[in-house]
Amino acid sequence: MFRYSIVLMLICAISAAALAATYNATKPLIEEQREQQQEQALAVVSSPRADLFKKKNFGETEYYEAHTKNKIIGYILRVKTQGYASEIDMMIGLDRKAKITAISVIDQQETPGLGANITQIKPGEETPWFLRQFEGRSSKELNLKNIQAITGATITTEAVITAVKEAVENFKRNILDK
Amino acid sequence: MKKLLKEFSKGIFSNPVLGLALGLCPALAVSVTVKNGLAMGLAATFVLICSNLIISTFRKLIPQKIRIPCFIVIIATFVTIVELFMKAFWPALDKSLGIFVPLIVVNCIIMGRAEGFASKHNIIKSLFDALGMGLGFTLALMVISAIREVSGAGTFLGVPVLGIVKPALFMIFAPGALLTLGLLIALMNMRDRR
Repeated sequence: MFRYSIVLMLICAISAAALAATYNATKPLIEEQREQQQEQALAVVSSPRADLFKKKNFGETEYYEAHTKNKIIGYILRVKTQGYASEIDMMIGLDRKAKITAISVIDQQETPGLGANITQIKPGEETPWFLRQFEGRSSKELNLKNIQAITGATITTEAVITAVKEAVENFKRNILDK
Repeated sequence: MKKLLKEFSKGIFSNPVLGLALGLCPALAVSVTVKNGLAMGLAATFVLICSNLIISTFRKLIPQKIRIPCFIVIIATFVTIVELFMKAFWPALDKSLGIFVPLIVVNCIIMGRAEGFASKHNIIKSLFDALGMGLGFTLALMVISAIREVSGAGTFLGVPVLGIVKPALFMIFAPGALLTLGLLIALMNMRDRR
């Protein structure tokens, strides 16, 4: 009996050491990847002229101010919402009057071929057709009349529209109108 | 050498997924796109090779009565290493495979080879067994996912291939997975009957 516990303990100890080493080696790389993704997303949804992003928050909501030469040129909201199969993580770029300049989906695990088509890029185009429909619109204009839903993915479509609308309105109420 | 080749080729011809019906959960769930299928196959192959080698090396030191917990610790360690590396170097892949990378731990092909082969054979034989089984698993996943991606999404490795023909959406859902797997197993059985 005693021998069993010694063997198992040894195996566990070696495994733990190997894992600790791997974890330490990959940790900085994993964090770097995360930051890169974040920065790429910020650059995509705001103006290419922006040279500085300031992180701010109201309540629990995080947002960024995009600056050019110390002037605010827009805002970026980070929104997470429950879609059909997963949490959809988005960044919304706004101009100074809270009109949407662009939306980028950072993370989603929706059904491939249906909900996942929120990030589908049609051949010959550069940005996802679904998200492009939001561009230049104010929060009042966000409804299923103006935004064509994805076939077979009503829940995902509605979740995105509702989340964007709520986030922008909330932002206007709490920040812009104050 | 001939014996080693036999250990290798049995993994492909008496295929783990299509012949032994092992590892069906990832084979059904991940085979939505060819890219996912290939990545899943390679990740599982890596774990299989490492765990087979280690278990075969220490097969005489691991007492019979506690072999299962020992195998699980060894397998789980390699799976976690794969997961961390994927997160660090291929974050997009890690996201699309999602929960199925950690779930390689309970992939019955790996446990099955550890228990059924590596714990009874020498290192070289176990290596060839792992290579064969890993390749067989990867091939099976790629065939299933190629059929499903082309017919269900109209793309192959993300490139549109169907032209104006509309893909049959249900092929990328669960029914499509079960149907494809069933037909492939039927094909394998037909070949074995002869």
